[in-house]
Amino acid sequence: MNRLLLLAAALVVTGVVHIACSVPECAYGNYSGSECRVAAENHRARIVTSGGVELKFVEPDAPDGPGWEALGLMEIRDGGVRARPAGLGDFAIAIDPGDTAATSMELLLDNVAPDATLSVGPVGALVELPFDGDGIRRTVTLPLDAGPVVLIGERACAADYHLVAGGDIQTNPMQFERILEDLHAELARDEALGEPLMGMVVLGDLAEMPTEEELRHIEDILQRSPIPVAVTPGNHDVHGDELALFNRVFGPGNYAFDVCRTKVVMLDSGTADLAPSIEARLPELLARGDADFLIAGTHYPPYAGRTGNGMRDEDAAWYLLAELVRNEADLVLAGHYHNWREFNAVRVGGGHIDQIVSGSLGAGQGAGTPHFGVTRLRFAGAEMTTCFVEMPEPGREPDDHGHGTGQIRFCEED
Amino acid sequence: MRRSPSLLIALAVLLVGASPPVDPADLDACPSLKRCCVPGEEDCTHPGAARGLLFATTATSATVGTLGFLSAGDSLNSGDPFSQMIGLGAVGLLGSGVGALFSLLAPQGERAVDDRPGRPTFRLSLSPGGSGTLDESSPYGLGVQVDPRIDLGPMASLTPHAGLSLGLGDSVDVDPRPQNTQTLDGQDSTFPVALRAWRMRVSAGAELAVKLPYPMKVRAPLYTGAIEIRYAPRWELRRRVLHVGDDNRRQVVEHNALYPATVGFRWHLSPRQRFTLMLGPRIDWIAFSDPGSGELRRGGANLGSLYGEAWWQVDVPFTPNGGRKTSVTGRLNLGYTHSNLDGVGFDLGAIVGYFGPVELSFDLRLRKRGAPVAVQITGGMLFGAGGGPFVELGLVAPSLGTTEGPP
Repeated sequence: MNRLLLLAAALVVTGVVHIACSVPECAYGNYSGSECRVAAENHRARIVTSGGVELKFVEPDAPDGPGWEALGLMEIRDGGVRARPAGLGDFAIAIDPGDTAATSMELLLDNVAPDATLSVGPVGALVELPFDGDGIRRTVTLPLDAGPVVLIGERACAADYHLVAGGDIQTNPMQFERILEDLHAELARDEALGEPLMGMVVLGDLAEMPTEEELRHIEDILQRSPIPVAVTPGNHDVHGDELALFNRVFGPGNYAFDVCRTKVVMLDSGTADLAPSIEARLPELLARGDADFLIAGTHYPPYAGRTGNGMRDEDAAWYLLAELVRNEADLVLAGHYHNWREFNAVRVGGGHIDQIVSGSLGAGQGAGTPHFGVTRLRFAGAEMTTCFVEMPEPGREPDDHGHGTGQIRFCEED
Repeated sequence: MRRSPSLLIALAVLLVGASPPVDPADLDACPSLKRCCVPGEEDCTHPGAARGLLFATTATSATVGTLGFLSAGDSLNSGDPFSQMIGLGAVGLLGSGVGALFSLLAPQGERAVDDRPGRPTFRLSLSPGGSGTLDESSPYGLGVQVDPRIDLGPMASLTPHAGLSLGLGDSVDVDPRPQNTQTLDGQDSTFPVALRAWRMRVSAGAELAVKLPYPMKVRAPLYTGAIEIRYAPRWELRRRVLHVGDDNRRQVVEHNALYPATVGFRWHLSPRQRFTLMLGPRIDWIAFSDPGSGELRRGGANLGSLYGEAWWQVDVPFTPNGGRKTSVTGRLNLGYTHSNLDGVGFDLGAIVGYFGPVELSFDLRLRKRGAPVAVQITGGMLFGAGGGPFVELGLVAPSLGTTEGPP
């Protein structure tokens, strides 16, 4: 009896200590965990300057709401505020001057499409801003003497258009630089077709090691892209990270955006799983809305096949696949596997989902002929078609596809 | 470069282990390598040679796996078999080294341990839960497994299997977005509950073990230990019941896995040490329900990841034979399971998701001398992200069928 009482007392004490020691989620910031990166990406979508000005990313459809969304990055850079919208389509930034004495401030905008129109002002009284910048970088002057304002970026859409996608740069950022240069030709080709190239999706593993130096180097390279780039992290970008460096440099890894008739949902699977709170939001994130096409982008392929590159938590993968099928998604794009491979009609609950793995932006591909390049997605009418555009390393002809290419479906002109 | 002979000798001793004491009466039992076999053991085995062979084969597996993974894994779409070779080979490598240490430390040599621990007939397992995060919880896990052994004569046995494991409650996760600043009724933090999930698993199958004739009839047998061939088809159902978001609607995701051709072997490296390897394909069926609906949408099969497991085990005697009223024997298990199911994986730096869990556990079997039923207690740890400790309580009933079968 005494032993039972002792055991009960021990359990009570253990429970009390346990409750007393509990802390809110991510209180100590373990950013190599997926859930803490959710906290970080939301934290970094808003900033308050030393003068008290608040800038935050908000939904383009509801820019005057009270909260904010992890739809971009706000940071102090080179003495000023830099904003990097995460998506490829429209974006909105809400600015509250607070008690600042300044009447205006400059904002550096990165990753904004050259064709985007920027407007600023109170909701309902927006004024279009003149183009001031180069490529995907703009500088805008925000009024601070007229109360809260919003900055809206909007893109016009052609009936048919393209996106490109790929992942895994890692140890070969120079090849990635070449790919970005080749995108100028891709852009010109698509312009000539009347089907503009709207942006690029990068599917993780931008760096080999998640140091700020490496991540900033990739960010510098991205400045040379002729089109905006949406990114999500891979395992090489976040492992062992105690400072949320990926989110500090690039912004969110979990977000959804519309670009023309396509909804793209980016999911941070950098730790081979999905954050439980993101799993909980999958029905919301993957809701198609008015979009004609629905695409998900993630580093780890939810269906791994024989690649050995699947998620550590297959339960999360099954749920993601189930939600993709339930929302009738057209495609899931992934990286991690350093090559190009498509998995057609992965069967899930009576439906199916197509998956393309395109870890082709520069990372080592082992023995055999490497195949660097991007997956081209063409949206024409009600059809989406895909193929691989090879952008080879120097010294090899573009049409020399080499050996072991049976799994790669090259674009016809390549 | 000239190598130090003492280093090579030390390496050889570490690998091969100590020479067992030899009883001249036993020499006839081991004609080709007279000082090699464990005295008094029915199957003449040279533990050192067996461990050397294990070292060589598993080192080859791990090396080929590593090289293959790095050089051809991506271009040939073969990362899964290569990473499997690495994980399974590593267990053999570790086992051959640690096994030599156990051999050196065994005061009376590697004689067989009577009533050594094995798979209990009935097992109850518990894994701890709890969370240090406000408003989150991780439930305790409870498992029940039944594995009665049926001896099919001196050379074969069959062990049917049935199992059920489930969470003793929901796992609860909150939404940590800093926008969530409102005080919430019934919660200690301002982060609302985002996801409740409950998991369960049902499994059924059988394992057939057939002992190969030993030693093989070759001119100069190495006596590297007896081999059992094993075949273990299995079916598993995993069900996850989710309650997501504000509306808290119930949604089910179900995964059926069939392992139709899991085959392998158990290698008796010494009377006390064994290495077991099982490999096979997996076929998956994924079903799910719409939120709020109880009806599952089922569909066709996909080829899943490869399955594999490797175990190195050593028996540890605690009571001298016949010395006490209760015999106590132990077994140390080092294992690797090549599977990403259940969300436990052994990660190393950026190497995330390629490997399944590593298990280190110890079985303790207690049997009142002459009693038909023994108690077996197991404590262990699953190493890797999502892993943790576990305990099992088992009952060991007598085998059915004929009493002589594979050890």
